[in-house]
Amino acid sequence: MKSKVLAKKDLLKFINKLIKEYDVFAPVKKEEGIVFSKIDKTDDMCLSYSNTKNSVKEFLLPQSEKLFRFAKKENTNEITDLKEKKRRSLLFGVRPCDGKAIAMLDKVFLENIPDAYYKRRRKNTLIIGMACDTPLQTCFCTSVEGGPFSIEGLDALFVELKENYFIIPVTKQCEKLFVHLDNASQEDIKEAEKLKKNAEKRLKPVFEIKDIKEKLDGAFDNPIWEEIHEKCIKCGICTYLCPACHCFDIQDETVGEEGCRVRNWDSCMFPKFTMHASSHNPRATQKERWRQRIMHKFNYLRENTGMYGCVGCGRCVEYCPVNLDIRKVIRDILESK
Amino acid sequence: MKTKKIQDIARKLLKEKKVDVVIGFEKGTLPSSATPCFIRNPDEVDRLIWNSFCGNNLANYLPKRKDKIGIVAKGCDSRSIVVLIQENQIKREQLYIIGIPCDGMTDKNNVLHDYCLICEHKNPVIYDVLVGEKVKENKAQRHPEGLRDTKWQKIEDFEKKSSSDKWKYLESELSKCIRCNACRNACPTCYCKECFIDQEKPRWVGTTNNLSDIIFFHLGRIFHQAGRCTDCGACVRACPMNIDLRQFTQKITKDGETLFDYETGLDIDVKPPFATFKEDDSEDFIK
Amino acid sequence: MNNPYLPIPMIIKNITDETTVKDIKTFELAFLNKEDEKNFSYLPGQFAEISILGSGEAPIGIASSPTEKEILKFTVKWYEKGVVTNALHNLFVGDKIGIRGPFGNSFESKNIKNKSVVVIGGGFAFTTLRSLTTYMIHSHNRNKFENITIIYGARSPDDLIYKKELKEWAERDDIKLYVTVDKGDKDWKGREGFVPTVVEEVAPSAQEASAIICGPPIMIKFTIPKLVELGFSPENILNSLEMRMKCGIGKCGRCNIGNKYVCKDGPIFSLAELNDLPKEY
Repeated sequence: MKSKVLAKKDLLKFINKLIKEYDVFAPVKKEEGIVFSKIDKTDDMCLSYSNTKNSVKEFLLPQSEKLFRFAKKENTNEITDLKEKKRRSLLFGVRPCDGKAIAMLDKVFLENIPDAYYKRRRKNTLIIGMACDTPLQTCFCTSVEGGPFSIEGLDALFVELKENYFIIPVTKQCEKLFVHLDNASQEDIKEAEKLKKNAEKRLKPVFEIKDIKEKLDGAFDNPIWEEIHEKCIKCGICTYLCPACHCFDIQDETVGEEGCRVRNWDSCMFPKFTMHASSHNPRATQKERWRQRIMHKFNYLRENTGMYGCVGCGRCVEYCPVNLDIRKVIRDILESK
Repeated sequence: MKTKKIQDIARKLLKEKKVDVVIGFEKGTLPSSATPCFIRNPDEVDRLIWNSFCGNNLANYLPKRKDKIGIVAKGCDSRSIVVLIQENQIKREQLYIIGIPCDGMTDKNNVLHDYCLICEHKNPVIYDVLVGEKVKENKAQRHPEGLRDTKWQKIEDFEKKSSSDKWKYLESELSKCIRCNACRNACPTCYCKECFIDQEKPRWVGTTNNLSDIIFFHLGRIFHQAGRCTDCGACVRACPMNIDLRQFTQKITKDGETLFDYETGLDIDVKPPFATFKEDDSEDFIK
Repeated sequence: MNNPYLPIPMIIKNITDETTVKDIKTFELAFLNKEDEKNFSYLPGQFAEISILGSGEAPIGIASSPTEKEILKFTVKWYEKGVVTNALHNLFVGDKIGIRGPFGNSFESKNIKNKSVVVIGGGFAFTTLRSLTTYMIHSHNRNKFENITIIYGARSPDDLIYKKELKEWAERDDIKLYVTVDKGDKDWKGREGFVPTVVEEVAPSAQEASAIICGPPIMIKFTIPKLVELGFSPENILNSLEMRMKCGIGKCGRCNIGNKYVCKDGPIFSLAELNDLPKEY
């Protein structure tokens, strides 16, 4: 597939066309900041953003998702599997870090026994990325095998040039969106290449990723875990804003005789996450929970899926109320004996 | 200056084994940031700092601790400490309070937090040692009816709204909530062993992110703060979604101060309004 | 689309109180649809998520054996804080519930065939061991195993579950059964003593044998060294683990020990495997 160009002045027209066919989600400026949400018209969209406050995982793995409805009439249970949505979804303006997280989520939710709900949404969703030219101080994608122009997990990537958007189609599914556009010229390709190099240069790795897995393999009983967790207040900001965190809980919500089985985001930071009915808790304190968070992201997921569970988006760094910085945690572990 | 003094005090406390740990602030990893730290080794006291980014309410780390603690406390931290002592969450004898008169804390853009702007207790109300000179308190002017206008301005404006407008505001603010529990967990007086939203038998609150579950949680939490919230701002500071939680907690605080003449966290020996009954207690709100 | 989150409808056919305090009940469930019954193929050691609409789901080991047709058995202990186990204990024969599964690996996946097998159980944790024992002694399977030794202990005679089966097994001459209690009552004529002591005393041969052990942590802690002394290799000492599990298919992220998920890589682990995993269970 050839790279394409779209004149900047034609972007809104392009998006408007998409809105007719898809439920389009894009960065929107709201009171709480710039968040990814559904747009009904292009005016809602805000493209001057570093990254959105929420990650796009909520469109594939919603914070609360109904698995099925049921009714308990006279001891019979009627289960209605929820129906498929007709209109397809399109996420526009996804940063490459969030795209990479989707590639990781795909491994967890589509491999082995596929997760029916994730699969349904994933198949129904096109993901168009926007290359990242304005990294924040909290960004560290290049430290975790990602990059500001990475195409992993995306169906296409837009790169903002001076006059045009340079478009890299990645998967076949998005081809038809771009057929009517001009092919990119040699100059466009060169300009995009230059931007990519500059962006990557600005993001010097903050730790040596290749050393991490081996270090963590022998670090389960490292005394450093005693210190890392101490200021953590056990909230769920880091895990809920994380584009790669995907742990969930399953609960029943009923009103009278009717109800739904729902799955809700859960967090390894919450004490109840692993609590048995017998009250035994294998991860009894925040020490074990932080160890799990780091091990899961940088060791276990790597072992099981080949990918890290951290994409360097920096949201947990920016929003942690006690500045418990995962970059520092990793550096401290690497430096520990 | 204050940094050096705090370090000296902490070193002495640890060296003389008067405390097991000093809870204070160290330099954060982001520009314009400070982060809570726990110092146990006298050789590490140099990590301690003091600047206008030391916004966390460190009293949050105290409930149910068993060790002896040196704690750095601003005015608001000290008031929360008073509440925790009143509520038997920590013993006065366990604490060595390093009080610091505070000129207000700033956000990362160096702007004073709005809860600091109306603070009336910049100086710690309880301490074992004071670092630096006391600062001038900013007592808001008293309104003829006894209300303080600058402090309650926002709440009074809100009170004038119709019930449906109030509810609309509540819904629009709380619809941003992602149920991360940061407001609850950052709050020094939210220390229940098992919060009502986590209880499963019976389950009081739905588990989903629908608005009614979210509102139920916040209303429950806010009402539970009556007579206990010191308006330290820890909840809004922690909230990643910029929810105006103080709009609701302040109403509770105002009612405590105006109806019961009780200002939270000033005196260990004065009973909080919900822990006592007086014959002349206001009953105006019972209709 | 095949949806692993949809429960299979079942009906409660029978409920047995295993103890006089009635805190442990065995539920016999039958499939409501023949098709589901045909598709539900399991082996001893596997578990299912028991689903009670309105209360939720709980992972429970399957106590019946695939040789017992038409029904599935689950033995469930009541816990004060267990939402689903409480709801389950309040149900009656004829009530409808759901299950999802079977999930996890089986004892057979750990190379126990054509060898001797020593089954060691403690207290209420005998559930999947009942499945295994019933399976092994079935006429179709008995010749696939060499000597079968069962060692089962509980605190008191009343705490022993599956009393009917124990009686039947005691009468068989193709297996050796040793039942022990910490302390007997006036009617108790059997052994008194702890499980590790019995293991040492009856000293099953470690030659070409697997030891399968399920019970309270304290029993496991003291039994494993005895087995090692007797010459059982870490590969041949098998243990079934419990965890808080929600999805059952390795997605929800809470039941891992190291990089292994108890729901899909377990619940059966050999001592050799456990030795390579962090001690966090």
